[in-house]
Amino acid sequence: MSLKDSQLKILLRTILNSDEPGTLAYVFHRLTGIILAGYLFLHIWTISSSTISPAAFDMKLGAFSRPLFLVLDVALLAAASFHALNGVRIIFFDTGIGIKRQKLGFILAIVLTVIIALLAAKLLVPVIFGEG
Amino acid sequence: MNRYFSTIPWLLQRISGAVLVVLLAVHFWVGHYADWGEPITFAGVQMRLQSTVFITIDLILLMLVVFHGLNGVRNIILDYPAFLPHNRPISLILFIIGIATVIFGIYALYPFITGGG
Repeated sequence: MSLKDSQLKILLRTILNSDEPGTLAYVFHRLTGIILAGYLFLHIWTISSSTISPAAFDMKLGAFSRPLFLVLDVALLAAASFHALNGVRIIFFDTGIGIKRQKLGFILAIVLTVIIALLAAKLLVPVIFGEG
Repeated sequence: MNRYFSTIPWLLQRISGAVLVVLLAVHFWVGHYADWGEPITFAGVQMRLQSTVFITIDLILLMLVVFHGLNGVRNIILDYPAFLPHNRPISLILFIIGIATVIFGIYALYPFITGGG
């Protein structure tokens, strides 16, 4: 078994076995938050090529339709989805709703993130394996 | 809970977060997925920003996301007890970074509204 497989299994077991998956949710929320904040600054920086010339903007943004960046775009959507869904979970708890259903909320956030990421990843198939 | 905790940033983080869930869903769809794989062009963005609705959405998005991101960074920094006594200067620096980023973001959007060149 590869290292990655066993780590994934440990992660899944931790999620499913813990009574309060709060720590994992906290770690994921923080990690995705840092990724999204970093991306935000890169995003604004890229868009600012508009101030040089429309041609400079087109050249810069053109690079982002390459497969590598499309894959990263799906990863970004997954990070944003988890952060958003877990954020909604946090707001619910803050208002006193569902505090006794924390684990269900976390599993729901993970499952919905995976569904969103898979739907987006479907778009990658023709990009990576050639237009069919 | 500690004496550095303040309710207003906490509340604004929740409000901005809730609004961002909706606005970012629209933004991801329009900006990243509606024309999947097609290069984003100046002309395309310019056409979209002819609409006052989109300019307004983009400006609100810019301000909310910069606030939410930097306030999040502030929360992470202040989670470390060592930084707590330096709450004031840290918050001030992040505030200045935020204002500068919003101004830079508007500067980057401006050519689309005026037509560029």
